[in-house]
Amino acid sequence: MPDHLRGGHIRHPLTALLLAVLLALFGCNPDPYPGEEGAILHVGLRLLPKSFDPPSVEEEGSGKVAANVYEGLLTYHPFARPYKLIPALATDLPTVSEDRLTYTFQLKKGVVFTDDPSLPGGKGREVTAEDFLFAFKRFAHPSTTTKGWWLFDDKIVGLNDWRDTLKKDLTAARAAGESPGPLWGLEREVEGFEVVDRYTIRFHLTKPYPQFLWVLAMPYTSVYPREAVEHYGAEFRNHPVGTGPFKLVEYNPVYRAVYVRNPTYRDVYFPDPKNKPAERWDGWEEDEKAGLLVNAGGKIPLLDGMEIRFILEAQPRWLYFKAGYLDFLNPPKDNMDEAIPGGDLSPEMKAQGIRKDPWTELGVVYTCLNTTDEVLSNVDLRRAMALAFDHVWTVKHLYAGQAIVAKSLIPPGVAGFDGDYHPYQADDGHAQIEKAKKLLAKAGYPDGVDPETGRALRLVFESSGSGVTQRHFAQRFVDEMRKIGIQIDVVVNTFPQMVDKMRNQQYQVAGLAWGFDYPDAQNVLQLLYGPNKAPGIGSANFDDPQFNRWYEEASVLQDSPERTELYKRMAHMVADQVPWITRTHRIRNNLQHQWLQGFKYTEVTDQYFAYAHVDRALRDELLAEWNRPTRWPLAVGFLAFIGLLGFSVSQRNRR
Amino acid sequence: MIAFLLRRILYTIPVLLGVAAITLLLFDVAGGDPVAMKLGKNPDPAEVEALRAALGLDASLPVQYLNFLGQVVTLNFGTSWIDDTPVREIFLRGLMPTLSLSLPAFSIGAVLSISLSLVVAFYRGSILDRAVTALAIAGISVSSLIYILVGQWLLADQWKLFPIWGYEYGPSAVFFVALPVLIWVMLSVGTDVRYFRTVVLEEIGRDYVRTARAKGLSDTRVLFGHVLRNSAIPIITRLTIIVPFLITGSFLLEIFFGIPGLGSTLFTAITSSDLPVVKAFTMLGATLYVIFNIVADLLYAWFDPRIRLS
Repeated sequence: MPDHLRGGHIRHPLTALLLAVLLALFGCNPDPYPGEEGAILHVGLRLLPKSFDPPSVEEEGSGKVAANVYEGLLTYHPFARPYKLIPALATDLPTVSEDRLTYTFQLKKGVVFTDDPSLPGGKGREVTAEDFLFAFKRFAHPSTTTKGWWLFDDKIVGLNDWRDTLKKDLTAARAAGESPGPLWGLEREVEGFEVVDRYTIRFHLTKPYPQFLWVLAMPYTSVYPREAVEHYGAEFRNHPVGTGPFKLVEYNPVYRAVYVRNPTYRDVYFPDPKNKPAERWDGWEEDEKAGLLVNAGGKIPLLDGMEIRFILEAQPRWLYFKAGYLDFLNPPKDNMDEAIPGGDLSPEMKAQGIRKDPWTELGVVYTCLNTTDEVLSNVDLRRAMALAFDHVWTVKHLYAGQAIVAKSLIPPGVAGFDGDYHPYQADDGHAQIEKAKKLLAKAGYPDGVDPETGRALRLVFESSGSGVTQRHFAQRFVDEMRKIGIQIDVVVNTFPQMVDKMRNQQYQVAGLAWGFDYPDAQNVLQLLYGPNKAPGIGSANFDDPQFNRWYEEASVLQDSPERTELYKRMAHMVADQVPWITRTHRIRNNLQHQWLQGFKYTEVTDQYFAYAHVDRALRDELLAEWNRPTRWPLAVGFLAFIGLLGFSVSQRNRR
Repeated sequence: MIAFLLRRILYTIPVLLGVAAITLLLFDVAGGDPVAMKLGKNPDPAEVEALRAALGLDASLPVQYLNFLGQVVTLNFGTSWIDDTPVREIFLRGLMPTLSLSLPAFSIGAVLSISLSLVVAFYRGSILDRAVTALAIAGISVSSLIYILVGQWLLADQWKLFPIWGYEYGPSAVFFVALPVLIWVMLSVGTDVRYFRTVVLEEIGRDYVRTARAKGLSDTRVLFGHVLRNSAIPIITRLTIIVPFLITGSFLLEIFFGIPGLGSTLFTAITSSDLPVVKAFTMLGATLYVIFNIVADLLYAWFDPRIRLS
């Protein structure tokens, strides 16, 4: 045997290293929540949140993390469908004046902010009408960057003037060398916000605003104490101080948010429709049959805490859920076939006791056509393009069947939806190429040929991002248009580039989607209201006087048959004039593990988490069964390496 | 040696100025208007102007360039456009998780690669040599994403040996970084073993090795006392150049395994067009790369006096 092996100088360090690696592997534990106790809800979020500061809670990520620490005057009923508003910090729905211009809210007494070092003595103090006044004024303050200003713009008496004056004065103060803080001038009064007494706040509107109550259930209008804003300054975005059922105890904006039950949360109880008729809602019997009401009458939150992890990649999110480390999940698109092949739960999912809670998204996916573009101002061209779409193919291949063809820009279930009027979309959703070609010829492009160049008409499709999904959709558009002879050039943009182009009307076609802020068709119809065209929110730059009149008429009407009729007319006009090619309403499937109780997925808010509960014993038992390590492959691998080494040594010795 | 060092440092200045110029042009000029992103689709024109001024975007390009150089020199890259967190804070927050992944991966990878190279070179032509070489080539040929996806699926999901995703600060981090470290090591060992084996083989064939053996030195002594020492120059050079990437992190591994380090931070900054963060990381990466190139040159010169003399 050679010296180096006899002496063991090579063998020993190597073996030691290999043994160490092996021991480390054998000692590993797959549990990602080591040492955790109690009923904790585990949530996997596919996005990163940006802020807890209510005026900045403007996207899904922030909405999810902030929803259960803050509350406003109103919230959504956790189970009722169609969506229904219920009081949160208000005692009841408001008293509204006959002219619909004055809304008066009474606040619940004894509601306190959660304990926080920013508050006197570190103890939560009572919420008063002054706190709401502060929150509303801060939301409108020019130094508060928010994307939600449009919700209040020109809606509250004196608020626009207050804001404009503040802007001017802030500019003047800066010019004079002052450094005005973010709350500078906030003490100035706004005519439209009136604190009647400690527990009463009144809003004076400039005109009837039927969506106002929906707005008061949005995260933008949550309440928080002035002391916290002053104490934390810019860091307030990471230090929420609210009245909600949970309290944030750990936050890493790129990893997770950890919450415990708010010890100062007021007495709120899970609805008990069986025993208390006053708490019933339409469809409560079905919810009871579905097992959602097992905790009826219990004090909420039922959970001891929750942890939201920000899992951006689809594979780990999906594997995490399957292993039981997330309590619920909307499965990623790529895992749809594994989870719900053909629309039903797979045998594997059923064997795990997983439940499915499907619903059609309150939103629409559409192709936006710039109606002010020299070429696309031609309505027959737009109609021809709409007819060339094969929506059925899109649903089957790009959504794995988890979408329905959008017959209208208003989704089913929302007042104004009419699935029967779609003149430029076949009843069955398939493409109508011959009809499209005829319209194309009528538009001046026979067989898609541009008479000016003698070649195929070329249009530019703007895609936001270069991800797989965006590439699929862009390529599909290219293929659809090729069928009628139109050639599409795809341009990939970053999000700011895309916004730039939209704002400056420098685009032709773009693939977009709209998710409703509240369940009212006005929320989507505003995108086609003429005064909202670019640089405003209306990227199609559609500006039809009749549409605009109907929109203005509807905008001051309460929910009524008359308003629904106006919504229908506007939707019909969109279907007829085709500033948008409406494509799909996505179907979302919320998959839930069997230990999760009382959980009905609600897309317009996340405040329903407080009604959920986790059967910890069942969860622990199943997780132990599902996640038993398989260690033999390691031993086999290790022995194979040792065998190979030994064989090589003996081979060399023989030589 | 000092003249050599000064010369190398002077060479880096135009490189870094160029990187700064390209970074600025690439992100600020061609990257779209960040104001639209911050204010939404329907901002007040006055607000747009105020924010442009606040971000320094109303200045001319040369002034923006000078401002950016000022940020680089003072290491103050402002705040994130997404959540207004200071970039410095973002960097410090991600540094430890990144190092807890990259340092063990680098150390284990280096020790394993060098050890394996010595063993397979020593047993040249044996079944072990052939098996390791074949595995190394196969390993190099497979995309890193496949390692990650398959590794996560097989070792964490199917065999339940590791957490699928997640991270804990402190000693518990060992369990969470074990699988990404293993994958990192697998990713690096293939390339390194191929390279180091060639280096070692070249040395083993030299006259001084034959002389040492003729003098009756043991194989161990020959390998570690002579061969490894003379192979050290290219090995150290190669390892030194890897160091900057240990700090900037591996965004794929961090994203897939939920390690809140600098790699995943950079990835999310890129996908959300958070340009101050992307610019800072680009400059940091370029600077570290340049610095460690100098370190590699110095080490090379230290090991080989002929470099100094030339």
